[in-house]
Amino acid sequence: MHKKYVIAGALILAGFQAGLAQAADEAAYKAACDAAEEARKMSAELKYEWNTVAPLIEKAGAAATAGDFGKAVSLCDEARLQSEAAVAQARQQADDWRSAVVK
Amino acid sequence: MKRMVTVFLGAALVAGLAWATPEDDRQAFVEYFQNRFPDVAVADYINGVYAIDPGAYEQWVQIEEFAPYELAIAEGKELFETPFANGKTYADCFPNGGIGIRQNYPYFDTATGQVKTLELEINECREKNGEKPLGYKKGPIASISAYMAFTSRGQVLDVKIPDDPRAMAAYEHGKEFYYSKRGQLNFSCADCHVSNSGMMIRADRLSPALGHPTHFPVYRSKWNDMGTLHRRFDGCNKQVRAVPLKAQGEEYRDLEYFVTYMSNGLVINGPGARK
Repeated sequence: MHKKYVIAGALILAGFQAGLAQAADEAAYKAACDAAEEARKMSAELKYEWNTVAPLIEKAGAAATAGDFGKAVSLCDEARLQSEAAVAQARQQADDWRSAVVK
Repeated sequence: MKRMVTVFLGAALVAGLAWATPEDDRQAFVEYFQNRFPDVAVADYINGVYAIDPGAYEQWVQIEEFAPYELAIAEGKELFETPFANGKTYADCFPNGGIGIRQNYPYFDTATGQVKTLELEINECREKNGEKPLGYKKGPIASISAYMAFTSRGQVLDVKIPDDPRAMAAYEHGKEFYYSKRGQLNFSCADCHVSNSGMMIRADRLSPALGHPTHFPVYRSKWNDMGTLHRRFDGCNKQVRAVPLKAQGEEYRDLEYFVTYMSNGLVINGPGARK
């Protein structure tokens, strides 16, 4: 009788831990994706958005729906990095374009 | 004294660079291509890549015998002449009834303070007469534009930049877009069509920028369809992995203003056929 309680308790604890882990993974995904979306919007405002970014965010959403939060975070991080590069490109070109003009 | 002379010369150099007029830009542009392709006559740049690729030119001449844009010209003529619901036609909206005027577009409209393209004015005409605007990249607008270009063949491109700081700003804005690298591939318009013109990109030869706007709209084999210049801008931006901007938005209209000014003096030969 006592043994049954121990097993049931262990199972409940394991389930609780798994639930906590999934919540943490989902939170990490949301944070990564929010950061990616914010960077994408900034590049779009500068009219320098790369067309490779939105598909990455879409794929991240699909991975999260399938429960693969690790892949989703990785894809959102890639989307954020690309958007940050696009923003840097916009800022650099604001000065550099003049040097390319045919003279 | 020596320092003053240095400062003066430096200031003069900076001022000279900063105040390059559009005409200075155009002359430098033409000279660049004359030096890059010394065997090509300036007038031949209206033929795009076929001006610099003799093999492709022969094929293109054969395509032109049964030009794939002829149906668009016929459709455009019919659309152009068909009265709107209120009885008016496109001819009522344009100078000279819309015939033989392609060479004057785009122009800077001092009343609105913006660059007006032919396609923009086609839609403004429709809306003024109670009709819905057309899509800007293909379809009926490309046909109407093709017909209007066809009636302008042989006319000399004469884009003007009036003495208005807003016009100059629009020109400079278009110039900035043309020379700015964008997209994941980090390419500007000029990277392909100026500094690498004539080079191969996969199986295609990059066309020279000079003369680009003379033959639009075009029937493009890749599209199996007609398309406007802004459709091509859209495609170029996608090819360098950038999100394209809105057709007939301020950026593309200003870009068209700069690009077309660079081809001033060349004749209209649109619509054209391209790969």
